[in-house]
Amino acid sequence: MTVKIKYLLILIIALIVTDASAQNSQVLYFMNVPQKHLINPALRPSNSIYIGLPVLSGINLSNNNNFVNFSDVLIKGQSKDSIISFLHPDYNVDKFLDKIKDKNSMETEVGVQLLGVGFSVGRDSYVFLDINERIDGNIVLPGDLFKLALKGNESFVGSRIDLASLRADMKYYREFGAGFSRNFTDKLRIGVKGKLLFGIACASIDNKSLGINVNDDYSHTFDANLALNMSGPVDVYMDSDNNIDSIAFDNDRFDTSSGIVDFFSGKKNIGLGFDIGASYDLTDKIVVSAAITDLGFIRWKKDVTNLKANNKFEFSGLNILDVVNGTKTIDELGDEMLDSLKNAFIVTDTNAPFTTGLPFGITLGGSYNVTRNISVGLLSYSRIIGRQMREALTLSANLNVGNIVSTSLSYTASNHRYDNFGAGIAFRAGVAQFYLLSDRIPVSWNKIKDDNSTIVLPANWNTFNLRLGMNLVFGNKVKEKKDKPMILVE
Amino acid sequence: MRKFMRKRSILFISIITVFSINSCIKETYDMNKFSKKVQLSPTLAISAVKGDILFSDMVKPNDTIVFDQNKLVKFIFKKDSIVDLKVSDFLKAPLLQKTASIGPDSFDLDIADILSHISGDFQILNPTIKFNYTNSFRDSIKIILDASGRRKNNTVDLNLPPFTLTRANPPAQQVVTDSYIINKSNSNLPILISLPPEVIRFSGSATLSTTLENFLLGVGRLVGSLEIEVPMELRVNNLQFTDTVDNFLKDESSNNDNPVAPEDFRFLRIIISAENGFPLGASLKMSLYDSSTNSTKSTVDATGLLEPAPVDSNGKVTGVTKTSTTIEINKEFFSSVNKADMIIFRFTLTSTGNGSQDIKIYSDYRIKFNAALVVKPEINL
Repeated sequence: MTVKIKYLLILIIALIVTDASAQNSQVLYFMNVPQKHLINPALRPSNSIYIGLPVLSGINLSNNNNFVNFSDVLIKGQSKDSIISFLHPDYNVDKFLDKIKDKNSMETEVGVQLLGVGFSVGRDSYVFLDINERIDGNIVLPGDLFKLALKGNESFVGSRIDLASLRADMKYYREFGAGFSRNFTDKLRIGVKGKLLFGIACASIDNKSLGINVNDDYSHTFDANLALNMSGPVDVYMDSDNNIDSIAFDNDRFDTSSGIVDFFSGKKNIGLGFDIGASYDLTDKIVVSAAITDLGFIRWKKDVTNLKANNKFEFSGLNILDVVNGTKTIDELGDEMLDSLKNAFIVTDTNAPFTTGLPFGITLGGSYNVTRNISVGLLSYSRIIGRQMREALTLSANLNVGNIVSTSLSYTASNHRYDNFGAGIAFRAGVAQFYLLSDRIPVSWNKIKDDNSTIVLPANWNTFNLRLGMNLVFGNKVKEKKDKPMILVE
Repeated sequence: MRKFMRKRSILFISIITVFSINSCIKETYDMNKFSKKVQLSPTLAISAVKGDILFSDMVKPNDTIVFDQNKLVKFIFKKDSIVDLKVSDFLKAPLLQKTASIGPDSFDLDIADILSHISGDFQILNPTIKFNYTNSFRDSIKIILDASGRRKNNTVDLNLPPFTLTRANPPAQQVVTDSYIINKSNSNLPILISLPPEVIRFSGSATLSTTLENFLLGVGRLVGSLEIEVPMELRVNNLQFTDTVDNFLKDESSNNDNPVAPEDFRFLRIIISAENGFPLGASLKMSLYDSSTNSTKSTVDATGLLEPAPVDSNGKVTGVTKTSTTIEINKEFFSSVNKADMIIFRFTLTSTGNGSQDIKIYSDYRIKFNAALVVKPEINL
């Protein structure tokens, strides 16, 4: 195996198994950076003006799965120092399946802030605008699917292989957001943000029912009621029997600059989004907040393909009676069965517009200012994706020093893992503010080596989130003595 | 104040730094020792073949096989014109005691090839031979029929005593048509049929007791045929059908392009569930045989594949017997496939009560079965 292939394999595995428990970094909530309004639009930084430079101001990378770790897919073999994968014959498949849940999810988010601007209006108001390029992807794989692939269908005899939770959703869209927050009373601050969304490409599975009943006599009843909705430069070709013949990427439209612009504008796939949040000063030292973010949808109209399957099919073996009777040959029976199977999964190809919702988040937070510079916080973030909900609970200790340095140490229980230690740091050099934060800092690492090189990867990289960027911030001297959430006072 | 804050921030950052530094190496993976072997080995089960089959679905009535009014299955073998005697056939014999020869002739049942594969006990309980004749002789004719059945070196004589045919009674009855029944009451027919015989040989004579007047008139003819009727009333115990065929499982191709090789399977199970409404049970053995070393390489044993249905005192089935049999073909068998050039099939039939009870086969007997395949391949990715 060449070095390149080896590391490509490792990279793929790392991508698969790394995890970011939530779209937004938990740590971000406790940091004094302008991007915190992504968690709650009522929150504002201490500076009065910020400008986010294209691309540089914010890059957010998240990847998520809730069921398997790096160390679950690459394992020490029986012989000394040998390395095997979870698909190696020596590996105990049951051990791997023990880690598989009923619903196994993987989520990926890439966010790049193309432009960000925020500024104070008067003493109490804050206005912010931003343009973000976002890719959201999530896949839910039913546990039965793994069991079926690795153990086969025999273990399901007398039961159902339930694949109804199979889901996949991948969206690439652009978000234009305009927000506003204001102190409505001395204690209550409310913020809202409206978003205009432009969908660029999407592939989404709408799964109403999918499963296989494996009966005691080993006959199978398949039922499917699902649709794959796509919007993008993809052409689906059907054969004369109405089966999918091929799916091809439409390269032609990218031959001209107008075609490229047209594709990336996303102007025909319009959506709306909405964030709303509030914070309330319970006492001089205790602040609580709540927010709902990313509530919205995109209506996909351009380059739409819907592939729908709504069928039921029973396979109970070849009925030999016709052969015994001499009315058919065994070959004819086999052909009939194959035709039935083929027809059972005929898909219909339509071009009807479809709507996808955004995964939205519900945030509940609170902080207690131990001193003027040090606070501790508690944050609950629930993310609702379709019919699934993810929960993350974060404890944090935060230090904000003179509007220059903001740091946070956090512990997050999320995604069935309870060893997520995160940290964030933001510091200002003049008008340039740099920040880097992650919800999970791996505490143990694996060294991956070969003859030529060595790399280290987290041993249990179940949660990965990285957000970094640079802002231009102005008006950093805070003269107001009144405490507001996360605003430092000199 | 600023100094104090700065100290605190340094302390905070230090904590983070120490925290990171303390991150330790848990394992070292030497990718030079990474095994590239990737394999899936799911156990796949599928219902392959099913059937709900009547005897009449499997066997259609024809000239040889008939279903009587009670749906009892019978085999009928006919031999026309075994006797065709005229007055002239009797002329050589002494006057007043005219005797003509019958045969010798033989009756080949064309089952020698099948019988060569069969061994075991097999009893046909009520076979009959019907001698159908038309007779226009006015005098009585006594028939002596010597018949025997032969299977390989075994011969069974019919031991049929002489019998007399019905004669015509002119002028009212110029020709008489009648039959003479040969069965277990007057012969060894059941034993002969149960051989079962490859060939039935027969010969004999017809003796005419006549008056000179009648004989000189020169009238009379006897035409006779045989009809062997074998109703499916039988007992079977350990009746074995054995056949050896070329090893059709063997991969004769010299190249290795075939994506599926027998050794790619850990096992193949055939699970046969049956509701047997026949009073016959069946077992099957399949052996891989190497003729060059005269050795059996591997055997698949499916004893008790079907258990016979219960019968009443008349030999008629009263219910069904449910069986579920698993035939396992394991890796050892698969690995022996290419070491054998022949496959020996041994099919054993036993009737209800291990052959101790009479059974009858009716055309409305049925068997309901489902054969499922459970296979565990080793799929190398």
